[in-house]
Amino acid sequence: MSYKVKLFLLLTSALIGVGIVFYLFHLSEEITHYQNKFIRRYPQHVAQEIYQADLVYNSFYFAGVANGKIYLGNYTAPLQILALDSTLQKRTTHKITLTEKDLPFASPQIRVQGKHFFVFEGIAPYVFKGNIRDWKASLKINSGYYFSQLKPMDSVTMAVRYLTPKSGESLLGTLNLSDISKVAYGDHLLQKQFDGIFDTDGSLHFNKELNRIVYVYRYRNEYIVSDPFLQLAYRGNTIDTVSTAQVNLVQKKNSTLKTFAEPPLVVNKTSATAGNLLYINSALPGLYEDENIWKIASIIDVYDLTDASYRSSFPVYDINNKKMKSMLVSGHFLYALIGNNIVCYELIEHLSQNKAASSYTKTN
Amino acid sequence: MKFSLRKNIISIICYLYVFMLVYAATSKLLDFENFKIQLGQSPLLSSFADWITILVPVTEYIIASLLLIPKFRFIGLFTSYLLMVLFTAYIYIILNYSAFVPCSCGGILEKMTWNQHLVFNIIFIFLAAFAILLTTEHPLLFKRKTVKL
Repeated sequence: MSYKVKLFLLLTSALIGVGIVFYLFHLSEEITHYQNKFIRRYPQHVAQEIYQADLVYNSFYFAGVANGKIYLGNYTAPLQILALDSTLQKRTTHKITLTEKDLPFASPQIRVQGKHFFVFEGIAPYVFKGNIRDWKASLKINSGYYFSQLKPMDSVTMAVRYLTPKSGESLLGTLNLSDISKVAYGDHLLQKQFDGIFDTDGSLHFNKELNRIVYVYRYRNEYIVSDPFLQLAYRGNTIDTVSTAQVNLVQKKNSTLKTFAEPPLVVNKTSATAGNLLYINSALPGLYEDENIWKIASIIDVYDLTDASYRSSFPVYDINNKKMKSMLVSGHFLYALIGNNIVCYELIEHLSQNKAASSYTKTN
Repeated sequence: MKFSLRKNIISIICYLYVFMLVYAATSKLLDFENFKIQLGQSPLLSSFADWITILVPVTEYIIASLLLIPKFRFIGLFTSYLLMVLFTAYIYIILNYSAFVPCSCGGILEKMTWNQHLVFNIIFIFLAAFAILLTTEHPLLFKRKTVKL
């Protein structure tokens, strides 16, 4: 073989090789984001803890975030609200006063939305509304279907998960506090697989920036995105492979109650949404993952709601061997309740993985 | 260039490659589980990690043995060259196009940054190309021609 032939062979084969690698790269990106077969991507340093505070008690839940403050309700002191500044250092406790006091109160919950707050209990049912200036609330709703979850969409409309009378099946809907007749139900949104109660269980969210109701199923790899009028936008899938709820129930003897025959397979534990993104704390390790991370952290998967794609995953670390209970995302900050503690993670834009990493290092 | 000198240079390059390939393949197999996790975390390969984890070390061993058998040395050099070109293109893409830069490779290469790795690879590509151009022995593929000549 002459030099010329050899050189030609070397160059053409190199070109073809480079072409193949580029093609594989595009194919792999496409698969990861749009047809993911349960392979997570863990970019480094996209979520870093920046603040942590001890709340002394573990009975807090997120009531909302507004006006630069994080509001926490307390299950054991239902009419108290704890406001934290965004650095988790300054704390103020507010006492809520209700105008009507003769309702069957059992475990009221609080949601804060903008300048307003709501006190509700789905199995009474009732909804109070008030202003956070004086923390006084008056009764707005005292009738209708029972409900099990409520998320304010604005100062008068709420996204609600109702319980269908008699069957007890879950039903997504909305509630208007100023006009009771404007109740709406989205019968087609939740899809029953066997009992309509456990199989449709999940968590309800409202995404302000996109103006969308988001519902994440607990026992299957699906989330539902709908507009505020309960018109389905699309059904998205999480990256795991559990498409049918794996829940086995048995009827108790001499009772109408049902109970788990075996521990159910939880797919999506808790979730949150903000901006274009949906954050889901998954319960299932994927392929080629280091199992150890699951022992010391909760894994959050990030999805883009604008195109239903998977973006990336990151860990939220346990504190004193306690796993994260719930989370709330606001802007670039993720707040999580872990045991008696609350932590704040700063989220870097890079977690959406839609730009080359080199473009970040170049701008820094 | 003297024939013996040429031969020696080619031999040295071949042995360098054999050493590197055997080392790379063995270190992968010794820590196979970890290698699988690392490939699963690779931006380009994660979706194909299943078969690539086997394919890569096996290919490395095959190429190393090709380089050791004089008859197949030319093919060995050529495939080593190709492998390095593919690997270099991979690193280049990671550094410039990927949203996700994974940790690192295994073994001694673990200590290298991606940029150092890129330089290391390019040196090896040139070594292989150089050896291929120096080869005057007629490779197996063209044996029939040799007989005619």
